[in-house]
Amino acid sequence: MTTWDEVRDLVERGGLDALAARMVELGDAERREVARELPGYLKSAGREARAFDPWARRRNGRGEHLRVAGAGSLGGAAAVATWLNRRELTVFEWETPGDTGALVRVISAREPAWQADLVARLVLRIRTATSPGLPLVLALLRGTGVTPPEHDPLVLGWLATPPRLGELRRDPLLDTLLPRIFEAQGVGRALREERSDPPRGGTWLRALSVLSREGRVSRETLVNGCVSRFLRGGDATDLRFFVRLHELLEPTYEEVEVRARDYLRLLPAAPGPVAELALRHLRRLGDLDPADVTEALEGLLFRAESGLVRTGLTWLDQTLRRSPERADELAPALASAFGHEAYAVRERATRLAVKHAAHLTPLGAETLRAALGALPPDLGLLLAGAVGGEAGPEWEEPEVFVPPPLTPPDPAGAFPEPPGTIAELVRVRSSPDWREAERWLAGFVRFAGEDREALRAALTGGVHEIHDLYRSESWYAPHDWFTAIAAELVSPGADPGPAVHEAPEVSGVAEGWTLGSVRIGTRDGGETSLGDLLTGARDHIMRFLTGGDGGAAGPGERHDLSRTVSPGGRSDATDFEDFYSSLRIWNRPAGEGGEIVTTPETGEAIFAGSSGHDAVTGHRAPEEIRPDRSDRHGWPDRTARTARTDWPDRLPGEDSVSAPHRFVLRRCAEVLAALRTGTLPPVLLATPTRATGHLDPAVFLTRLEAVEAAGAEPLPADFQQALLRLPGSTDPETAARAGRLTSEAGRRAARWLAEGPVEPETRVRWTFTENGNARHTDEHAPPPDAHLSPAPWVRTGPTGLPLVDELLGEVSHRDWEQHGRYMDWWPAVLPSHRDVVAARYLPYLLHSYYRPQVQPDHVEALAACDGPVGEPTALLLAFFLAQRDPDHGVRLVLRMAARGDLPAEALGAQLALLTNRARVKLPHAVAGLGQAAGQGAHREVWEVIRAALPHVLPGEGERPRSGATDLVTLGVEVARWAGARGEIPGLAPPLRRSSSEFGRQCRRLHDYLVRP
Amino acid sequence: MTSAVQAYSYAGPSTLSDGHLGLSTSGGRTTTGFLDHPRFFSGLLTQAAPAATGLLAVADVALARYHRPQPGFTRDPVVTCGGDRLRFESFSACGGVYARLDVLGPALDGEVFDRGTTNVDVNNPLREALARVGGRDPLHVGVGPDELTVTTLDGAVVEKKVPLPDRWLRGFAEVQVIASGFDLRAELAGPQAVRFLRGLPKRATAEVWAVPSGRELRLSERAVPGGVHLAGTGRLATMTPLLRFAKALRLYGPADGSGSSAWELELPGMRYTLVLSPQAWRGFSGEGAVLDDLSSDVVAGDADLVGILLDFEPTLELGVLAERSGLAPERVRASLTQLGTAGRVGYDLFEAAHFHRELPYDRDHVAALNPRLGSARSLIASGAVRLTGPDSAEVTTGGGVRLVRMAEGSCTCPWWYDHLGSRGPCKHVLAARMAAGTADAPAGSPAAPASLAREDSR
Repeated sequence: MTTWDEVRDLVERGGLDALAARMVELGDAERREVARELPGYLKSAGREARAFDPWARRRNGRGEHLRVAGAGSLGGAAAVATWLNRRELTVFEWETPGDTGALVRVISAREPAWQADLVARLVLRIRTATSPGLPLVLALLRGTGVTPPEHDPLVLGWLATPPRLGELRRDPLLDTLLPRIFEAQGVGRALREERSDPPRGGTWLRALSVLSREGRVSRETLVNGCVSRFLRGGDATDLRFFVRLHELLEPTYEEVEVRARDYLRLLPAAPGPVAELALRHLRRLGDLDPADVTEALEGLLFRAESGLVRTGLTWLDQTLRRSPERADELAPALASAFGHEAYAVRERATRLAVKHAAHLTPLGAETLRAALGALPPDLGLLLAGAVGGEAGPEWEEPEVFVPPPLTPPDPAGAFPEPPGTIAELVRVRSSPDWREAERWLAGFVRFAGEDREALRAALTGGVHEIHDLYRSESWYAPHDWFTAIAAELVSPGADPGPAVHEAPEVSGVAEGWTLGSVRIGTRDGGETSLGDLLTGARDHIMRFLTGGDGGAAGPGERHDLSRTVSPGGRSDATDFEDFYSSLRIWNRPAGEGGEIVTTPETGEAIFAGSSGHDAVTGHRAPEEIRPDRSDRHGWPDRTARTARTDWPDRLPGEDSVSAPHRFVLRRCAEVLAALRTGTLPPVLLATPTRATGHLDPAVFLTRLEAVEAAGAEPLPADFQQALLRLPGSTDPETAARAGRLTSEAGRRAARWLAEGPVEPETRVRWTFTENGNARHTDEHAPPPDAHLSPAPWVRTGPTGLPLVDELLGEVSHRDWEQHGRYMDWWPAVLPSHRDVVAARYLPYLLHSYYRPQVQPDHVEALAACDGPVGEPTALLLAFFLAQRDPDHGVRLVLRMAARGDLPAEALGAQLALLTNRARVKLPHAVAGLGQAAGQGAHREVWEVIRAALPHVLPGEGERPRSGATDLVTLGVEVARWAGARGEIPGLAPPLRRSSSEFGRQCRRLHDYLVRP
Repeated sequence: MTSAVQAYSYAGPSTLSDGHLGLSTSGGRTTTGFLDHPRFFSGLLTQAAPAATGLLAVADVALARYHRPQPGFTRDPVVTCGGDRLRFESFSACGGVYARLDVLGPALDGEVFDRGTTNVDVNNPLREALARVGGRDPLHVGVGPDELTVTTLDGAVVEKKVPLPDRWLRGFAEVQVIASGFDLRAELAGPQAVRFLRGLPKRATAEVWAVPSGRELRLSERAVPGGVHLAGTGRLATMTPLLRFAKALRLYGPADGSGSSAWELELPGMRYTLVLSPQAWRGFSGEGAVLDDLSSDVVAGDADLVGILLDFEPTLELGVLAERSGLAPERVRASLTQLGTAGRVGYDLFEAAHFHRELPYDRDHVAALNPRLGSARSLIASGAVRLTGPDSAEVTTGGGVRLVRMAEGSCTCPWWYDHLGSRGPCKHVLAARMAAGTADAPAGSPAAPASLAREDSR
């Protein structure tokens, strides 16, 4: 058996100790033999079995054995260093190598010079503080006593092990590596979290302070190291460890004295904590070189940190009191404090200058006079009184504010043309974008009338996965409706109707409330979730409990759908009211669930409780439905509930989606229903002509005329949407043209055009919760710590148009589930009533992150719309203005200011209320206002500040709230830009006695506003 | 990624003792050829404190990794003596910040021995000593071995080896070309400059735009027309110690709004300039600003010709160069771009002029650095480009055929789709343009004597 066989056997099967013992015994020739064989063996072993696969190594690898064999046999130190760092033999960074002891043993058997060479090479191969090679290197360094080469990662690696005092005292590396911790890059950062108050065990701070007290480590090394480190610079984080170490060492008077010059040089530019430390120690010293002190003070008083400058001013004061003759040479230092940001610092510096002015020569006085411009007017006057010269004039701004012009936003562009050909219609993307949806719908209706066969052919390919759609009970996405509409066109009557199942036995709820098991056309047995059932049940319960007066007709009457909706069916109606009351088929009983009626055109059975009747009425007044459903005991009629005929099929309940969302879906639903019943008008009325969603009255009338000419009826939701999209004013010619329309819808439209859009009343009510009850601040005074949240309040007089009333009516507070979806569609639903949309956005403004949130883009779309704006819009603006990044708010404010419709006063009030109690910060808002004012909206911003101030000023005995000073300071500036006048009530009281910055700024603002 | 290694060899460490700052030089080119330890200047720095602080700032930038602060290799600053001024340059290890301290005539009082460029040694004791320099201390500076250090020439030799990553070297060279496209955007007087720089967000990674507003600068958090982009306010931190000497602050920005910016602090007798990349995580290499000028062989010939005329001039006048070389100014400009990417000229924003300086690194290496250009050349070599019209071409690649519009520089490749021109033309556009250029190149390309050109590129 050769030596190599023996070693290979040990590598493959032996223990590390046995292998190391054998390697140590090898003679030179034997070593060479092993060294010759090893590389080839590694290669073949790696090829044959994946033994050296880094992942497999933990289980069956012999990497560590190979390392030991190599270290004990390879000739050159360089070769060993390479071998030990071979990628297939090293362990991962997170692993601890197990072969360190064995390696140390075999390496120690070599000659000392060879060992030193190897150690130096291994040191340089360490890359990070967690290098797997580190334990070996440290062990070898300690064992051999070699002085390691300068290598920063080694120092970091040495420091990475929490120090144990006993081991550290004996650590031979302590003496060589300790001085290097002050030089190696990254040490301060690695140890930045060590605390010194007091230092805990296991920290280097504690270890070093103990060792220096014992004398094991020289104080000289540590103090020198710290001060040198400070001089070499770095940021506060990098130096934090050294600052703490320096303070733990408590340098003595003598130690500070010999380094006085170094400390002085730290004052001008070192990071704050370092400069503080230097200043503190210097102040202990009695006599310093006066010229050095002068220079240091010049740098120190120029610094940005108020604390340091104040201490510096005290130092300067003491120096001058002791030796007044130095006033001249210290004048530049004093002058550099005049330019400080903080008023209090400038004031202090000014008072010092006045105090010592007597000792100044004309030259020194000139230095101070030259700096007069940096002082605010009042301090300037003070100083000018002492050293002569002229202070800046009291109210003239040093520089003239030239407001950048406000550029009005580009007027909204035209609405993209609806598809002109069927091919274009097919290409309309199904993205959740309201414009695309409008275009698709408009194109579909047009081509369904013009060339239905071609449309059917074109859409056939796009209809798939339709059964999944039919299985779901409600369709929340317009796209689902589009799919269903397309499917209805392609294969009429394919929709089996919504599945209604027997409810699971839910005790209590289910008792007596079991939803019936009538199945109509359910072929594929979809599952109804409990949640859906409960939602449905809740709907019924609510409707029942809030029940209204009696119904018109008894249950059981059949409703002839075809008569109601067939074209021309309404031609005999003459009066508008008659027309609408005749449309109010909810007056007719819809009692029997799942009644089957036959459409006149297709002869196919459809579900009567479908969107058909809803589409016609567009109305569902619970109080009128409910009684029909009730038996004489007042309980809802069982079958009625069962069939769910009280809402159009697949249209989500009004509690589960927001009103604008539901309105959008309703427009889809009525198209689907009209398609089934063959009552589609030739054209949709509501397709916008402007990108905002507005509809040109002339275009509207043209469409209406076309519908009339075709003898069709407009779809109710479509008609009402069209009215809502008309702009605020109409030229007389168009109005006259509308007057010539003969149909009921035409007359209604003419009346709308003549009267203009209704004007809803919109407000924000701030609410709080007291003892579990929601209260409004306009009715109850909130307790001081109450958390306020805004609630929308919208009222509109009845218009006679049920869907319009619903959209402009009371705003639901719901913000869960599907509520808050399609918020970007809303402005286009109510483009002439943007404040109502703003009110509808409010529930989604302040709430938490997992709920839908109003986005700046939504408000931007609102800003482009029309209609009066009030508190709700103002609150939206205030919210975005008071963000950490107020850019969106600034953009919106600038945009509205440029158009001249910024609700400045409401914005001021809402801003103050919002930042008062809700968790939004006033300082952020002030920053935003400042930005907006600087970009040209200064007059509007002044109005905002004027409106906000009464809400922000502190009451008697209160402290000004955070940000109040900023707001008043900004007010002073903006008031000047805007040339404002007029006293603000409440501004006078806080300024009588106060010497605070807040009081001072209030005084300035008040003085300016009441200036003659 | 290949990475060269730079070996510095100094005759001794740079030292500062008894008011004498001896800056050790490693090898570099001078007017008299390549020297191991060139000697450029010896004399007084009349503004000791700002000069010392400025030198520290330059050294700090060399040390910094702004994107991800962590220790690592640092590369020594580069000094250029242009006769009447000394320029100290450094480039951050992250490749996103370029710093230069120009010590101008009024701040120098001494003798110029030679003109040229070299590295200077910066070490910890030197940094400490520089930090100790006060305003009243006289500061004598010697760049290169002088009377005091000559005696120790055969003694201590300082050798350092640092890796020289391609992207670092390329960024160092290319930043000059990028800066040459900047215009002055704003100028602030001392107090306003101090207030502005102190008022920057404290968060080092904050991103703002500085917009001129009267005599001040206003901060905006989004891009505003006329605003100067500042990504990573912490990257201006080296200016803080210099603020007390500041007389003015000038801001420069690119005309195309690509987001880099330059900040120049006017100091007594000195200027300290920082050029920042568009984002802290983005280095200057890969910006592709120069590829158009590099792609033509005509430019290469011109550059050889212009290269001879540089002569370590502190300011290179375009007109003078054009006259001497007999080339049209546009071609001189293109060749300066080429020379810039080869690390042979720098750009001084204040003077709005290039200056000659030869980066003391392996020049062939610097010149061969542009991978996109290399790829484009190999595309041409493999015959992948097919011109399909006066403005269009098809480039066949492994990923399919790319359709190129040469005039607008657009392409159907994913890289173009990602950057849309923000990082210069893609390799397909370059290849197409080069192919189109060679097809109808002017017959009489400038006949720079080949021998001269070769001698210069040595």
